[in-house]
Amino acid sequence: MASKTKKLSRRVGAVAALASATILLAACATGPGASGGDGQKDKVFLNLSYSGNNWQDEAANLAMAIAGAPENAERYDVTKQISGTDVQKQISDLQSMIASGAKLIVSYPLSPTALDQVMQEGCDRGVTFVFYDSTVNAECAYNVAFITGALADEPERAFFGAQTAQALVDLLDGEGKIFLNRGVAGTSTDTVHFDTAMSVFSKYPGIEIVAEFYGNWDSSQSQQETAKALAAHPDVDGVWSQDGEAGVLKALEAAGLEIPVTGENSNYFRQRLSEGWPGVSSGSPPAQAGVAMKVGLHILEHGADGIPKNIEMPLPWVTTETAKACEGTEFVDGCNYFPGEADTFVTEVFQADLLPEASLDAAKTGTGISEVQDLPKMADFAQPEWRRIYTRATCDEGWAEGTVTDNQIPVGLPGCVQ
Amino acid sequence: MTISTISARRRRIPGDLVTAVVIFVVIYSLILAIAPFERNLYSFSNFVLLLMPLAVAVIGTSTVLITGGFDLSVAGTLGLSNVLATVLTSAYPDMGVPITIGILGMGLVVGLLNGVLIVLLGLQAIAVTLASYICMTGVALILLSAPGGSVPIEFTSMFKLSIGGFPAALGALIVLCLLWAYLSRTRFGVTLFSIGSDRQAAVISGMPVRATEVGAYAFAGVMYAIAGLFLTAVTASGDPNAGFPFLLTSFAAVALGMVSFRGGKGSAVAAVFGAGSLIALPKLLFGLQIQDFWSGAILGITILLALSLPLLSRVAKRRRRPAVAAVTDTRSRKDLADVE
Amino acid sequence: MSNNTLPTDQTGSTILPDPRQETVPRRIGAFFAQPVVIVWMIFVLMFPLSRIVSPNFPSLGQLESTLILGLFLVVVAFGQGFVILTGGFDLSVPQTVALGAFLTGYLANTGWPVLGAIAAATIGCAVMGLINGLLVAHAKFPPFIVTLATGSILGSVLLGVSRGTPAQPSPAALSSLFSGKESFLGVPTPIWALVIFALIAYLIQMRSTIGRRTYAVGNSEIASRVAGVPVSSTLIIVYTFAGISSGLAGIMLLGYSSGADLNIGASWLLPSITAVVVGGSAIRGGAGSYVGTIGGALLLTVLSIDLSAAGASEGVKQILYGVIILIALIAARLGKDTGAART
Repeated sequence: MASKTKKLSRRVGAVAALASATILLAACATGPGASGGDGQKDKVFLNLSYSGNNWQDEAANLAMAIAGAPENAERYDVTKQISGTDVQKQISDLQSMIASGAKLIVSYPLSPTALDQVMQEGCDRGVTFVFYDSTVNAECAYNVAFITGALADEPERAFFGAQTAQALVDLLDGEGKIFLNRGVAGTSTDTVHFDTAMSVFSKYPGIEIVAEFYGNWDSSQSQQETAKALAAHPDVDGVWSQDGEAGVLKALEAAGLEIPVTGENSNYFRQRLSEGWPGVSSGSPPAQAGVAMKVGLHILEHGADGIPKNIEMPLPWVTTETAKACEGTEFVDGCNYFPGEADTFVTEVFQADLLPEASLDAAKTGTGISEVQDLPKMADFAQPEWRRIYTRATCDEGWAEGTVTDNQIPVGLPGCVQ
Repeated sequence: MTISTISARRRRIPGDLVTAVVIFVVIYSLILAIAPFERNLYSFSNFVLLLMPLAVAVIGTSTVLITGGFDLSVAGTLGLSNVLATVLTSAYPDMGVPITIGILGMGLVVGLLNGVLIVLLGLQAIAVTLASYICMTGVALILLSAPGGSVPIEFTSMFKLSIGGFPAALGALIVLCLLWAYLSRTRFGVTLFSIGSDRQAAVISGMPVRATEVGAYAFAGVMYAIAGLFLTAVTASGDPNAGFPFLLTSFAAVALGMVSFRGGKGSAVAAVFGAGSLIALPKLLFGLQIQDFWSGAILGITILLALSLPLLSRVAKRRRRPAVAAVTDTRSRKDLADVE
Repeated sequence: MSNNTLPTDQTGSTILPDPRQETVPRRIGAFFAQPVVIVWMIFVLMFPLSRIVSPNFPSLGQLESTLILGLFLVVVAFGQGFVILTGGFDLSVPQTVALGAFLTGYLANTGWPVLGAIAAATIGCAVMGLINGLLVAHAKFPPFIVTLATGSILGSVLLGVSRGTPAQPSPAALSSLFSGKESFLGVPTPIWALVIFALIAYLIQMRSTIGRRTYAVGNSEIASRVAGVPVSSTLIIVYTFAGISSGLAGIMLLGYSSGADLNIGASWLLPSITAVVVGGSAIRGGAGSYVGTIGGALLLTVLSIDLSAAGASEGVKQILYGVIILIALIAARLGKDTGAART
């Protein structure tokens, strides 16, 4: 018996010793703001889920750069948190943030619905939530997303999926065999892009989809999947792609093909476009995160008046004719990519109206924004009610599900009608 | 080893269970010490609910590990259970109870299939359960192509019932642990441990080895299905990819619960505490304001530290016992031969 | 559990198992019943069967793609298979692949000569494997969990070190070698890489002293120790090789994709385990042939190509993938291999 208690206390002692060691280690690793915490500054959190690729890195950097601008840094205590790809961990982290007194949480959600209950608790306690790129259904949260966005100079032409599909059809003159390079299976973003693209393709009997695969928004995987599809269909005429189009291009190049490709905003794609590759570059801008942070801080500072709950980022649009290299680190003179950057660097870090103060440095380092420009009239960037169902899964009050025939091209998509 | 020796062993409090509990208590105490905002029943209740899916899942995973097997299908069954619950309850909100029973049945059937392929056909456990995980993910994708669905509140409230601030789910977990503790003392449980320790000896002793092994997988399947139901209650929605994180987290939790990967030793109750440690760890890191990318490293270091605990106590033990006595004592002989 | 004794010869000294023994047939029937042969037969069968999914199949392009894309899996599965032979697992594969790619790209980009960058990256990954090996061999931690933990730590470190530049460009020489655009004697260069790597790996696993020792340790650590096999150093070497092979896969992927980010290794863990097991290796160690692993890796690749061509929805593809793996396992089992230790 005595030996058992001794063994027990030995174990406890060992665990306690190791625990203290862990704490010491952790204490060395703590970042800024760990010193007890300044009671006067409001707490702001940037919560990432995915990480390790250019898009996520740039988006996070832009948001941190906005929050780190002198006028914001003196008022807000901003912490960046990575939850990883486990939705339960994101729920747990959000609960911790709410409990610790966060005033603003800017986040990339892993699921449109799983976080609803946490958010409700947070909203009840006065926390402001702003989500970027991927959207959530919860009513009290703000969504800043490009998914249903329209072209800046042609606001009737909406939906990345539909617009790029139409562009591809036009480049093929309405006829040909195409591949579809989708994103991650089982996500709402991929589903919206795919559904709206299909609504266009199905109108053209001359367009035949010979292969559909999932590049998982990753350049290398897209390259491998395209290569596999090429083995079966070496005579393909065009490719519709989500993120990962750089890899699609590389697979096509390896096979000696130069066919129309529509994709998102990688540096490599835009470079090849400027060299004459037929295609269109549109898609998800990392700038969304910067805009989300601006919107969130604006709400903390000035209240929520004039800020719509559903903010649409305008769709970028760069074609073979308009692709142009930037000489410096800013989008000037209509230039739209940076020749010195990595192939998978996502070029859309600016937005003329919403995020003009961004820079290449800000996107790469998370610092370097000295002055934050005021937001424009946000009502101009509100998502039209007829597109609500794609990001909130329901229609607004007074609206019901139906087919949208006015104010939107392509005509006849599902949406909300009055 | 005779059955009576095994039973006699089991009557003492297993050291690994104590270690697992202590690890959890230390972590949670640190959380309470560092983060004042966690010191309330509401936070604890949230913690328990979040813990349920993993805790119940590891009861299943550890049971299979004890027999010396391996079950990767946890991710598949759990995800499918989540998707089925979402799809069915959205369509038939009044049939919560029959749907629950149906899903438990699904878990049982999948577990039985695994067991039959592994035990009767002699295929390797890791391969079969990997294949069944892949198949079930496919089925989940067909049933629900994107995350969503709205699970009715009548269904989620069944699992999130609260009694005086305490989550009823905690009671369910305690019941499951007690059930497991009881099972481990029955002939079934004793056979489980024997299979893991020395399968040939168990066969020679006349134990119902094959039936028990299949039973272990079937039991695990039901546990995964229950875990999926709790996940549905926590997230109130379905996600075809919901199961994937559990592939690694369930085994990390089992490791923090000091369950042996070679079989023959361990306790599902300890694994539950291991799950608690794993779920609590991010909260501790948050409280310490650990820089964003360090969380993966801290998790890895914590696991390594936890693993080194038996090593430390083994080193301490060897210093105290003379070598001669060690050889004659059955427990020590196993320690000498223990290469885990 | 594995059997605890090794055979002895007349003088009483232990005979280390000769891996070649597994492939020496006693009867023609026994030859075809071996898992190694069955896996290759199924692989070959996938080609005429692929006619079902596409009128363009089977084709030379399909075979080429299988070999070019299969290269990465063949390389990763070698390391994983070597570790599985000892009864362990290497779950740090994704992060080690990323390390190989990241270091090579980063160093080459800051001016190192390409070969120097590759060498440095390979050494870095070998160190990672060495750490795994030390923890498994000396601290006696269970490999599954140890490699999970070290992988987690490495992933964090990479994330922290790469701030702002998670994607690294590939040196031009590497890209031209692995992108499949270049050919040597009419055969694309990645296929040459596959052949060369497979030969070297085969020699290491099946013909060298370290290979024999690995089989011995996998069969029974206790008996090996008694027989005088240096168990600890064998384990350490095995894990180091695994680290090197993951790193090499990362370097090749960097070349193939002419650029790579930190998630480059993420999709290779489960396939590496699947390829090894489908190729006939026993999970408890001590049995399995690298030739089988190569067959398993190529089978999975061509299966993926065929399923892609089938045009089915993702869910259906997953189900078919899982079912065919089961069929391959059952077929191998029905071949009744006696060398593999059952779980």
